[in-house]
Amino acid sequence: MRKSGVTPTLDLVDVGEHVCWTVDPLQGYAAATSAFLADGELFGDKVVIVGSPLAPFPPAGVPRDAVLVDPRSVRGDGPTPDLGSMRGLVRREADMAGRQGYRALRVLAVMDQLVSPEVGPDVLIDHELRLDELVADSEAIMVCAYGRDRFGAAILDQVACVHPRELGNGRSGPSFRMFNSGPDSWTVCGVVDSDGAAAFGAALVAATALSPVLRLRLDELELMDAAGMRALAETAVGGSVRRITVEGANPTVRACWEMLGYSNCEIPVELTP
Amino acid sequence: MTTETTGVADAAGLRHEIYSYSGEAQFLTGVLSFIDDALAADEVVLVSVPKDRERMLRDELTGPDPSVVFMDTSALGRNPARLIPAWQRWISERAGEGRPVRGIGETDWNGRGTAEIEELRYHEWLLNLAFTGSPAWWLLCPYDTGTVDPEIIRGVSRCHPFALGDGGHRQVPGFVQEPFVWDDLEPACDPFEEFSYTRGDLAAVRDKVVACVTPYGLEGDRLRETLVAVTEVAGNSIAHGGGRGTLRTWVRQGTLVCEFRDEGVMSDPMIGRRAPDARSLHGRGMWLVHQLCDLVQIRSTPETGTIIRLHIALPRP
Repeated sequence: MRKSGVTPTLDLVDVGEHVCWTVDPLQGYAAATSAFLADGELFGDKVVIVGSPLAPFPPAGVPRDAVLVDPRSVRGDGPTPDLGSMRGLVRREADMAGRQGYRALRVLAVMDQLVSPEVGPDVLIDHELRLDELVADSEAIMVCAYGRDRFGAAILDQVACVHPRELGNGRSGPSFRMFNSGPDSWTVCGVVDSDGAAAFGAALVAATALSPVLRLRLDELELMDAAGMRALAETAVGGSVRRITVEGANPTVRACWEMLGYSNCEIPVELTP
Repeated sequence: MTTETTGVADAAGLRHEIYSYSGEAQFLTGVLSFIDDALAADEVVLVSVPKDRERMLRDELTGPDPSVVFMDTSALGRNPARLIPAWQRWISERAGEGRPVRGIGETDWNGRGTAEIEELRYHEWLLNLAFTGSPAWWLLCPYDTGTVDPEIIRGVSRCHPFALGDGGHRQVPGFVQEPFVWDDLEPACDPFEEFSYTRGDLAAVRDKVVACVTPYGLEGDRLRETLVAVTEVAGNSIAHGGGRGTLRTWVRQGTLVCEFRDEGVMSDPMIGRRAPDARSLHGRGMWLVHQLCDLVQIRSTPETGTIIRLHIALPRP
């Protein structure tokens, strides 16, 4: 079972974790990342930094053999960034790190330099969800750093939903999280309400693009309102999905699905206890 | 007892008829004659009455007759808003048989508070709208003048175009479907908690409700159902009610009341009372609210905006 929720420090992240970091402009990148990057050397991880957040002066502790990747080489020259190449980079480096004798791959991606907020939340959700499946299935640690000023709260709230972990403190964080929990399996925890329904729908669309048969684990989902259920129903009747099996939903979620009449529609969603 | 009309198929939509009676004997006389007439015309009779009335009718009917069906209303709970969709479902289930349908619907008025009584009166008024254009059917609504407040009977009488009395079935002279006039809402119980919400505050709205009911032991599934309902209504304010609203919560006589005020207008008198349409996945939020709450009061005008009160019975101490 992967960990989820807010972590107060990057020191605690482990292999297989995918962390969203909303970077406060006053905080900057260096302070929070120096220990994370230094831990790469401590644990024997290969460190890859996509972007150049550390210029002009790299913080102390960055491994000398850290790989600095120019974001221009990842995103391409086209008007729309090729985020698939970013995932390809992570996949290749994770494979290579294993062959090179490292424990794992440790990636810091400075999203500000990779992608513009204008691409919209759906593109970012699609990217992060695919990345999450990759990280969950690899010996990798992934930290995605988004500048608060650049992306804005509305987009960041949605992007955070598809990261199992988030750097922060207290009660911060989105109302729900959706993350990979095995082959074709996704865990949804928290609350899916009308504030999060659009992000939930985008995450479901991204997940169904990866596999036409999905398992949704809702053991840690507290509640889902009509907007969330409509997002699930719409995803199931549209696109390429053949079947969505919902497992572990609490009695209230199951009862609401019935009350809303979706169990009587020809929707390929099956709720099991 | 004679009838002026012996079949239901002579008019479209609902023939909505009140039967004011006094005592068990008169109940049986009127209702059994209604059933006899239906059976003579080869019609199906759906019966939704309190349990004691059901027992009386079963004792009087000579053996089980598949044309007289006693409906299981236990799943409907106390919220009158669930009655119209239940009748619509029952009628549509029988429509396939091709036989005309009659209904007998009596409400258990025992223990009803002011808010429930008002919503029951609205339900009676709404019936005339809900079945406009539906296949013809006939609903008899018995009211016991010995136990139901005369003021209530006067109020609901104005919602019935037909009446059954000593002279048989008759059309109420001069009946018109007047606009429904609401009584004033009961004042909020003092002290109450108040919270203004806007986009991003749904979690805070739920926290406020949890804080209100925790001392009363509301937990588990019923608490989650309550939180879904309040999330729906607050979400409606944000999406359709000017982007914000105000929540007030209080507890009165063992019931949690959550009141939501916003600037939106709900102009559809049937909102939340139509069963979800399989052809569309949208517009099911208020339906869900009605299914989850023990009572829902909606007051909405362009001048005042919308006030919605959700009533949730709390666990008995």
